[in-house]
Amino acid sequence: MTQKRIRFESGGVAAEAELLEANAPKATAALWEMLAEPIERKLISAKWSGDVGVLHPGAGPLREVAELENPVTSIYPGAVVMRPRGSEILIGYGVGEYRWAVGVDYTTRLAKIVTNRSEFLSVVARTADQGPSSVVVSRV
Amino acid sequence: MTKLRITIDGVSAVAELKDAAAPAGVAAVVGALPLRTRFVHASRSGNCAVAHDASLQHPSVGIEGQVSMYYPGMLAYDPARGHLVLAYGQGQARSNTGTHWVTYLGDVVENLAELAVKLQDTRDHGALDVRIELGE
Repeated sequence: MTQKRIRFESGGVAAEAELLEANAPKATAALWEMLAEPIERKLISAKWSGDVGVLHPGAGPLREVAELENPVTSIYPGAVVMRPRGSEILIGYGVGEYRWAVGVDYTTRLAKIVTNRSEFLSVVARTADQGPSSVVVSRV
Repeated sequence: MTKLRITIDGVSAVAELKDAAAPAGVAAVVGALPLRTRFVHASRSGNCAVAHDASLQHPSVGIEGQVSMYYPGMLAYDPARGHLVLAYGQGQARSNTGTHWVTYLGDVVENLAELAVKLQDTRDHGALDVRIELGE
């Protein structure tokens, strides 16, 4: 089976990520449905989770995915993870762990970046110093 | 009482330092003044901005007035890392390995509301230059 891919583009740099459908069938299906049309969102630096960029998908099918699938706390470079109900999607570029004010929490792994990884993660990392940038997410 | 004047992007605020509770930390920070550096928003510690400058790094200075949680308006100092932290909301001294202790260095006593907007701006718009000097 060919794995579905999604595409991130920010700051003129694009990367593709493979959806982890076996790991998170409900969440990846909802994300794929949501990306029937590309979405453009603000990519902003995390303030609790370390070296990760955060985007807020907003209304759509991810809202229906309330449960975690094969949950993890660590967010490794190139990992794309999601909080329940799609409240946040996070992209790791360094040492990251999902945390908020009261401590560590779990996420679902959605995808891993497989093309142009280092260049795109550099763009994500820049949000920590230079502020948010726009990111477009689409199906490949 | 030692006072600092902190100026970010045209906004100036005054902090009072804890001379009695954190004498070594106050001396270390005052020794680095006047300081022109940058405030970068925290990526692990919540609602605060951090100045990381070599002139603030004093590994031999211990933690005084030991705290971990940040309150709005709180000025905290991590001498080993050379971090000076200004909080505008809930936060905690954290690194990639977990929580840690910092020196409770002082509190912003004038113009906290306007300063807090600038501290939030470091996340919403990017890092900002800051000037820190002795207050009158």
